[in-house]
Amino acid sequence: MTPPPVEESVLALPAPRLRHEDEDRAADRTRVHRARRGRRRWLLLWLLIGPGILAMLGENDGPSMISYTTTGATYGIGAFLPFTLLTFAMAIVCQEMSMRIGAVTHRGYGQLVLERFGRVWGWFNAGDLVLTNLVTLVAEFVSIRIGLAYFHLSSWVAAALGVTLVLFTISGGRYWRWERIVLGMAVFNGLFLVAAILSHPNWGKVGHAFVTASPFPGGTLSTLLLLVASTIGATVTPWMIFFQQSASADKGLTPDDLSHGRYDTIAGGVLAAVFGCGAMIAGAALATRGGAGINGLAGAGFPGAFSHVLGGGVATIFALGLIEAGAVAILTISASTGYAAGECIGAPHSMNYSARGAAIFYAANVGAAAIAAAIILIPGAPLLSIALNANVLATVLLPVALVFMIMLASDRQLMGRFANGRRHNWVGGAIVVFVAASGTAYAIDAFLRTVHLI
Amino acid sequence: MGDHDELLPNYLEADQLAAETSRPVPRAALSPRASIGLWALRVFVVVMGAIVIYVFVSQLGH
Repeated sequence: MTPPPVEESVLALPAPRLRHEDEDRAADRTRVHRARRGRRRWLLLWLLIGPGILAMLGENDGPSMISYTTTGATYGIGAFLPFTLLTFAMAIVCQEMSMRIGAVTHRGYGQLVLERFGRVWGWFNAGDLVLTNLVTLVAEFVSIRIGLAYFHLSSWVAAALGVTLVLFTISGGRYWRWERIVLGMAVFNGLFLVAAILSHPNWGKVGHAFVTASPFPGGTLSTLLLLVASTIGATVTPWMIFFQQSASADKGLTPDDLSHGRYDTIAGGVLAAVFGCGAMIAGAALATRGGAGINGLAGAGFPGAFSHVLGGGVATIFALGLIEAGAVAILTISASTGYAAGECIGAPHSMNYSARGAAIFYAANVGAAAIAAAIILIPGAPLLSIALNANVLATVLLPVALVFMIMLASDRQLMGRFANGRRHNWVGGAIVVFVAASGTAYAIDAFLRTVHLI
Repeated sequence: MGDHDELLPNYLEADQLAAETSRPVPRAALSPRASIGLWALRVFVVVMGAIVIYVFVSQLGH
């Protein structure tokens, strides 16, 4: 290797004490540096994409895809297709901030909140994350179980598959390896688009829905609030904020990479929106074909319903899609749990360590998946209720994570010239208000119904 | 480390090294408006948390 000229290197200091993660990250940065110096644009893009696409496609998880399909099957595509696009636009704005903070500060969200705003908020955010992650992980295992059940495989296989995938992907002790394996798996989120195409939708109506946001769905206010809250919860969640910031730092992104980080985030958002809309369009086919399988739309019945109405091919693709969606989400959500635990405890938290070097990080990563896997094996556990409420729970607790993210992104002491401008803060503030209002309205409505006041 | 490895850290930023990122950043100095906002957020969290947990547990019971 030719030594880099001192003026080309960002750091020209006496060699500090290096840790293992520094060496691995430096190796990755060497490739980035060479691609940039050689003006190899596509290679540079390939090297720098990852956290954004994974956060977005990871959030196109089992419960989200079931939620989109349920919406399509119950209400048709109508207003929900453009609404889904709006929520993904919101997600892109939020995730760009998350990526930017990670690339500029090289620190994770949990660590920064703890250090900048104190232990109460730091641990609250971590606790919020662990709670919503556990609930969501259970829902991911449920979605894998639903997919596998179509192939007559048991919940034990679902539990073993999820935990084995987590162990396999982290076994290399290398962020790059983990990221590429999960990216390779996430490509199959496109199965939902294939299912949509094979359902032979009326593309004219699809286009009409996008342009006019109509017909507006009927139903009660509480149903509408649930759908709005769960659609938001299917698009922006606390774990995504933790994950993309920590993964961007772990990958070694720097301010020089911000434009590629934005491409990565936008590409992830666009892909996730297309695939999510695919699930909704496929679900709408169930409603418009008058299939008997429309009974039992709470997720478990979907592969069977598709088989009955559209044939075994679409059902198989949908079942495989659910397995993929659950599996990728298990990997990314478990990773976000590991990052949060390591950051808040102050222990090493990088995929570039071996299990011995970052025991707490890996234990939290695997432990979260293992606990969720164990829960789905408990006979009689209310898995459906957990799966259906996971997105809503995430929505209600999301405003807190968003508020701190915007405060960090606006913090000029931390971010310098990369801090949010006034326009960015207005947009971020509007998203927080919208998410908080939706979650609050749903939670209050659900509470009043629970205590039989309405 | 060999010659090859000695060159690698040159591609990292100074504040990107693990030893540096594990050094805590100073506590934020919050304006009175931000402090009030965070207190409002605490109230929001407590109220919403109680509601969500109550509804969630009630649904699990059914």
